[in-house]
Amino acid sequence: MGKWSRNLYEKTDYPDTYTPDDCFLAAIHRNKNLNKYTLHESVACASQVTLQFSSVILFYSGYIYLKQGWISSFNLLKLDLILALMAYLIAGTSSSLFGDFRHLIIFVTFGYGLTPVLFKLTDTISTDTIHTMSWIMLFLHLLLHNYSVKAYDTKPMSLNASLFSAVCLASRLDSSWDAFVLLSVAVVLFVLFPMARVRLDQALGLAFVAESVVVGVCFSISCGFGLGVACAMVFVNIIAPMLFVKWQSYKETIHGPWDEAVPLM
Amino acid sequence: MASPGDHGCAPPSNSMIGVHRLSIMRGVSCHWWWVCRRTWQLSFTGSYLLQRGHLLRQAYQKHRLGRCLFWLLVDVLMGYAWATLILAHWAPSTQGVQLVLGAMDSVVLYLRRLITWLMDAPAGLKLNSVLSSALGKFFLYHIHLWVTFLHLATPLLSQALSRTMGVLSYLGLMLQISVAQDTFNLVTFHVHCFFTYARRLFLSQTHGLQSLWRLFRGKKYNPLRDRVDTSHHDVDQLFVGTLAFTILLFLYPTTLVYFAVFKVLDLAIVALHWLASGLVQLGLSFQ
Repeated sequence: MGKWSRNLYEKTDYPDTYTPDDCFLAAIHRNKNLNKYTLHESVACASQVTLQFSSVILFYSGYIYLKQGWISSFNLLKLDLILALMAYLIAGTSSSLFGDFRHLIIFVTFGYGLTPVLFKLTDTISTDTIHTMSWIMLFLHLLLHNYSVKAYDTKPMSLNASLFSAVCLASRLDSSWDAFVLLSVAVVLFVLFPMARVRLDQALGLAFVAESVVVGVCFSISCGFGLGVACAMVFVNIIAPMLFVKWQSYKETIHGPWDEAVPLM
Repeated sequence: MASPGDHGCAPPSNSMIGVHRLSIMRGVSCHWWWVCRRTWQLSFTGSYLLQRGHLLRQAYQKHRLGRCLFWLLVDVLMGYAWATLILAHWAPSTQGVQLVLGAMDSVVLYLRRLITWLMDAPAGLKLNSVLSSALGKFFLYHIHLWVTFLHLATPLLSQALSRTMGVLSYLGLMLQISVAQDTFNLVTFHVHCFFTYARRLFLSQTHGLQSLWRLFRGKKYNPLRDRVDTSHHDVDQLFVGTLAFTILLFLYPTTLVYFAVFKVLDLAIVALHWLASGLVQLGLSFQ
């Protein structure tokens, strides 16, 4: 018998299906594309999720505060404007100043113009239905959000779901001015804040401070709510990344000549 | 609404052009002529007479005029018997007019009650109170206009009806049915109007919701390829779109309920017309 070689276009004595034992399994690659994450990296990425989660919680707390009358709508608007200015300065002007001004004008005009319609919109629908619907929409917002730390690009469905829930909640408030304030809080937290959030992926300390402020606000609403939010944040931001880093060692993938050919781009 | 004009036979087009030219030559606007002609074609009586005349002409050309006239005689006899029966046992002719006018009043009263019922969120439906009352007021005002018109028209109409009542009994059953249909159409004309308004509102809102739902998912319709494409929208576009989507979505049940109620009313009227037109066609099929 002649020497075996890996081609089928020559006549040899070996059958077509023949492979020598030391040739096939020798080509195996284990954990070929493995990228080991450090704890710091995974915590930084997880903090993006918790920051967005805390912005959702902050929005809901703003609604509760307005609804219960714990804060006047004017004070909330002032807080909102401060937050907006900070977020705008951190995010930096991506486009021209004129473009940002145009966005602002559109938000204020349409928001203020449509709130008289909004706050009478869901009069006949029960409050529980509205709350459930807005929670589902906020969950959808978190689920579909773009958490990438490289560059922020709005996912339309995520943003729309959050605005939908904002409109639902605004329609339960007592006056159209309150509804407008809540809508502007939603715009700052769901439109402007994610642009600033991407810049904060290295500033872990700042993120933790912001999250603890949010947890404090939650505790002021009710103990159970605050405890729940705190547990969720600790789990997502600390325990889950630790588990992820620890369980990375169990990762095992094998590649070999049996794989489908992948074109190299 | 059933359109009885579509089975009416159109005269040959050269005669139309002839009339057209003639009226221009006389310096008379021919629009009025066309309006009258179209009304005649659209009314049940007019289309019945046109059809009957066409059939008679056809029978004359095929030398079957005798048979046709026989069935016409049967029709007239049946109409006379029916009219005598009604006048003798049910209502004398003056009361017949009162009956029609009373029916008008009860239709109006019933519609008013229905709209008022819709205005205060019936049966636990999640109607938007503001839109519902605005729509209700709009329809009530329309009814008010119609009632004013009826009050103006009633003296004329009752005179005309009481005069024609006697003549009609000699003109055959089919013509009586057609005249009854036309009267009924006049009485229930505002129901058609309501249905048209409600339908227009409902359709516009449905189309708006469809395209805004596409925007909600970050897509838009591409007419060039007849498909839905993913597209990039600005943040302010999304904001305005979502506001509009939410508002339209919560107003949708109200429009839907108004549309459904007026659709049912319209369907009932169309069914009655369908029945009566079926009877007339059955009578015309005897040749």
